[in-house]
Amino acid sequence: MNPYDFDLTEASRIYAVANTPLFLVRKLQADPAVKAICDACPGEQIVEALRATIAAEPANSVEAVRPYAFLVALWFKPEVEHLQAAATFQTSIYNWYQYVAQVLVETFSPVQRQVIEVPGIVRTQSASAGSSTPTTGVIIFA
Amino acid sequence: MPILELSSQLDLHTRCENQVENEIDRRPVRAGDEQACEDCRRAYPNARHRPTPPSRKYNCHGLTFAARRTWIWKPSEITKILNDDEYEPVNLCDIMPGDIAVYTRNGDVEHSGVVIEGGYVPMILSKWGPAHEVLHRVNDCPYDAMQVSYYRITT
Repeated sequence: MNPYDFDLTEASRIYAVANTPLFLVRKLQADPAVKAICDACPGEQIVEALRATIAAEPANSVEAVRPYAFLVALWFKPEVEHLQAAATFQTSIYNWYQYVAQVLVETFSPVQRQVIEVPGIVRTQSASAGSSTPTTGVIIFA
Repeated sequence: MPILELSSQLDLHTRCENQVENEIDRRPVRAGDEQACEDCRRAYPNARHRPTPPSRKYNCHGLTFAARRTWIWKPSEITKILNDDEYEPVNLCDIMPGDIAVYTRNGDVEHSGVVIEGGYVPMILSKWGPAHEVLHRVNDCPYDAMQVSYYRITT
């Protein structure tokens, strides 16, 4: 998929009320669309899209938030190289770009995700069997 | 009217004559900015939305600390203003109109405003990023109201 294909409407709503870049970063880190860009697109592709994006004046609020969304998508990657490459880009159009890139590089922590296949059947059972208001569930590997 | 750059910094000093880093962005509003304001009005129906247009010339901190003249976004600058201008913390039960509300989270000062009505859920005048100015209850806004501090200028 192309990094431009993702719906950044919610991100643009956040950008529309962002007083500070750190607020924007926090909200983008919680935006499923940004995570989806990370999951669906290789780092090189996001970096190239980012390079093109920051060269042009944004025409609307979605375009205005796109470079920041791409940066955060790179922050989700398990390797820091692409984010570091993006942090070297210069732009006079997106005034928070360098600051956001620097913050993301500094707060980067490599995360590896792995799917673990559990053999057997998984079912849940209430932990407080005798209580009328169970609050805890237990996963049982049968 | 002088010809001005699209983006520049004003000379803005604290009382201790330290420059406050700021940026005034004079570019016109973008497509979608008006719609974003409309979305805010719908999402926060209990707030009073002032009929000011969206603007990147100033933000909440610019409203609170710089008379609506410019945009201040670095948390360190807000700390500098609070220290240099001799603001002191005020307890919630003592706050009065004219005090300052400062929203912080993880070292960021993500929002600020001027108290216009005291009480346990004070009313705040502020601006929401590039969107318009809003009169809102302290917890009725897009910002994290878990850690709000109140300040009063002392001299």
